[in-house]
Amino acid sequence: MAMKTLHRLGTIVVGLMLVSLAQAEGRSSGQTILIRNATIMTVTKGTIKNGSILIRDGKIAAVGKRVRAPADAQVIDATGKYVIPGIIDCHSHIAVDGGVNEGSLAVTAMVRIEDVLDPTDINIYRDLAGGVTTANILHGSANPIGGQNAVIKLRWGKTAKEMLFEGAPPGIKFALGENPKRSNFSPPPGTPRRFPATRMGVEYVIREALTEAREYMRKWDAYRQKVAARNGDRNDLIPPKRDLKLEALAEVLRGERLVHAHCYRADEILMLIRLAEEFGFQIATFQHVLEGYKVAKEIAAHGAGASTFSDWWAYKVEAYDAIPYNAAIMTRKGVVVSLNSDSAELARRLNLEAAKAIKYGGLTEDEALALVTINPAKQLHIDDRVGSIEVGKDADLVIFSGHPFSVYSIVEKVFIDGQIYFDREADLARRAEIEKEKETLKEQLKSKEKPKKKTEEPSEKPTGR
Amino acid sequence: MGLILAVVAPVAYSRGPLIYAIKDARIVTVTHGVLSKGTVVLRDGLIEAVGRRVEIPEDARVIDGRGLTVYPGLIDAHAEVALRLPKSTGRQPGGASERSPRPPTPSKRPSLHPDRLAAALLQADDARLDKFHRVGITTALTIPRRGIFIGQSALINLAGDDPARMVIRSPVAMHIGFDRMGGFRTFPGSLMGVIAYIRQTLYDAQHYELAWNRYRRLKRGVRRPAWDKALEALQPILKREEPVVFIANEAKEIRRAIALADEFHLNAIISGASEGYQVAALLAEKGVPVLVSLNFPTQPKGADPQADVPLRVLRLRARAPQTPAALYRAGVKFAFTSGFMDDPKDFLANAAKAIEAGLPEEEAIKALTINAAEIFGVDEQLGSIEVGKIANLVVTDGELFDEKTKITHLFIDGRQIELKEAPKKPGAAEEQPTADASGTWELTVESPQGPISVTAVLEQVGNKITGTLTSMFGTTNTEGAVSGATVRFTATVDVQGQSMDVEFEGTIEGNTMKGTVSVQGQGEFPFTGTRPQKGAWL
Repeated sequence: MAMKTLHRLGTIVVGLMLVSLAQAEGRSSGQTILIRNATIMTVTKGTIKNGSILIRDGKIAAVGKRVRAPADAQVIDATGKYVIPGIIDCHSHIAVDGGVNEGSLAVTAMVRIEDVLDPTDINIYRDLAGGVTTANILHGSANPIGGQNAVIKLRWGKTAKEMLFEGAPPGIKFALGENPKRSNFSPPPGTPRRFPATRMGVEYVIREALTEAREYMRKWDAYRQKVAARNGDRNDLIPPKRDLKLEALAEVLRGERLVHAHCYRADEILMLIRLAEEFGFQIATFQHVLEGYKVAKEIAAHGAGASTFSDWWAYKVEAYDAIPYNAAIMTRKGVVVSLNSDSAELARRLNLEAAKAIKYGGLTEDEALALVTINPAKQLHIDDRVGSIEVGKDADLVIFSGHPFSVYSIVEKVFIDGQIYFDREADLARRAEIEKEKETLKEQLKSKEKPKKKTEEPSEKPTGR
Repeated sequence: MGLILAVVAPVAYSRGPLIYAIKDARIVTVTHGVLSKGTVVLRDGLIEAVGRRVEIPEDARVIDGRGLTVYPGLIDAHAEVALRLPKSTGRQPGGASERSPRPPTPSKRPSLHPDRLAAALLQADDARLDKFHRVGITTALTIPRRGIFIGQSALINLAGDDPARMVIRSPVAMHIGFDRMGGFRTFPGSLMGVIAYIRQTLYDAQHYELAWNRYRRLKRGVRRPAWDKALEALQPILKREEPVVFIANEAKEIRRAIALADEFHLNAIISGASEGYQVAALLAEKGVPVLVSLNFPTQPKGADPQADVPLRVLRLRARAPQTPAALYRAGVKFAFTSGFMDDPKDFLANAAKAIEAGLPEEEAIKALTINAAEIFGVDEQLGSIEVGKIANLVVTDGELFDEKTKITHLFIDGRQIELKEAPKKPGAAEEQPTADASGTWELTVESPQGPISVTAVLEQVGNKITGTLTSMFGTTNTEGAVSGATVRFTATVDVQGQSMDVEFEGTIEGNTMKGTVSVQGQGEFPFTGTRPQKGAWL
């Protein structure tokens, strides 16, 4: 509860910052935009035909059949088009520099995706063009406890820091099964197999790390108590040594860091639930969770979310016992379910992944769309900001040319914080320009190389280290 | 400092006269304008006099400077030169390298050498010094290029018989790199691992200081902390007594380095900065000096001319030379580096590109002289032609950045340096190839994991090799050279999403090849191979 309030406060502060930033830059986020005559799929409040959305200061200011807009509002006519909330991809590895796995050790809770975000990765733009506005950038699954994830908004053109989803709670990757035990990977030459090599070992590694973190927490608590007891006189007191790995795991134990656990099999899912309950914290999401349908009741009882695929399986032994009804069955059993991409390519059509849950399992349109909008928002604890079209939420919106569940529909415009980050028309218009610039630059570079040619000495490529 | 040098300098170089007078030359002093006709007198390694009317000492060897221009010796602000590099043992400590039932922990601290002094690794007889002299470089900031906590650099004069006499200042800066240790074997195997490791180590160093401070204060009743040479060596950077040089080229890399420096209140210097034009304002705001690499990104040799190069890459190639001008306009202090060119022959030509891209010529000269001296805290001794400064001079027959200009004389520590012509042919310094590596080779690498088959399709033209390597890790391009019967070729192999540099070095005898392959972060393994003869390879 306290966290929620803090969250809201954070939201307001950040919102204010954004506004002032936008004003300082003379950007359009302070601008007022009216999208009108659209079919609006709000996800949480039904579908509005011939409706309008008013965007002001990066937020949704009004939604409904009749929306009053100021005279200076920029009007986008969306007759015949559909508007949905920005799609949220709860499992992505785009925009990461220098490896998504720190696979050298079994526990790498100290590494942070945030440190290595690549704001220039073209996949950000491509995913944006598929209607994705928020993505959970996760560490890989090479180790039982991986690194810290980063929730980003796909603010293409901004710096890595500016892409971070302000106020999103921190998280961490756990992984179970074949990947952390490295069953399907031959180690590079000269590399012995890394511990652990069995599912038992995976459980042991996690338990040992959490036990260590509990010790670490106690050490710090004892220090703080001593400081408090001395009224701030800490002449001969020094704090315990900071350990960034244990610090992150202590946050997990305190419920301040969300655990996103890569898993496949029912038995390992139950194992982690038991382990988490033993240590008194909750798993935020089970990722992939292809056998989730077998233990949906247990997942729901624990309170974890499930982030799965629609029909992607059989790429390894632990991924065989999968069915396309997974998302629907878990939904019906009371689990908050999302569909993710785990792929820069699949991320461009998550709307169609959601549509499959209507065919397989008979979810309603709203329930299906929720799989890629409000549900992942809930799983990432950012549903007070994004995931549905409601007054006060961030104006993260996608305009589709038709129904988002039709294979014929394409994304026309994508808004984040009320700013257009993808515009199909503008993109098409810009292509010729880009080709022209490329040609010009190529010519320019060639002509620069030429005079050098005359005096050029044969180059010596270093063959050294 | 000047006085001390005056006393010790002459001892180093006893050959030849140590008193020179360059008379009637154009003198670009850098700090006191340009003398259209003047004289510089060098004595015992220092500049004794400079001016329009200067008495030429009787014992001086006189150089007629008519038609010549005298500049201060050029400074390469970041290089890996005149160093005896510590031999990599291949087997890196830490990570999963030891067979242990327990999960390995990062406590073994790989690539942690903040206590390593470049000054202690100097070698005076580096054959590459000629290449630096040829473009007028008299001084360089030197440090091994790769690693994480690489060590502390030395500013050295690039000549001398005794490495100890080459040092102008040591240590100058701590050098922190972002090089991964190697895939899944050794922590840190990813960039985020490297950054986490740097961060943890700096926290450790902060705690180390706390613990020792308490011990020094209380003396009794406290267990004394363990002494640690690495954490000890990091203290000057945490106290901002010594700057930290980060290699960062792209804008995002520069931002990352600055964020890290801010987190620990470090005095950062950025080296590289090919995309510096994008972040000039940030660098100015933070007051971060930049060592701009003149090794501008270009199309790699042998690249497919038809390949669709992304706009971002083309822009970088076109705009990197604009970085110096952008930094100048933003008010950022910067100096030039050779950017680890093996042969800095393009040093001046590329500086000329920066001028063409808008950098005033006098600013380019400063970036090659006084700016570096200021950034490294030696501007009292170096970087301009002033009385009492170290006698490093470049004498040319024209404007420094004119491509027709030739360097006629070079002085380092007051001693004239012989300028050796560049070898006419590629690899002329190397032995002529006596073997032909062309053909399809079936190689077997003996790794501890068992043999690994590699098919190498090589083509040799002159002494150069190009081709492909195919193994369980896929197919990659390779290039290398042949010297005598020794063949060397390198490639970057993608192993589970991590790229690793591999280098083959072997000897060819008929249709067999034998040698070692070194894999980045993994060590060296023997390999053997044959060239099955099916038809001619012509």
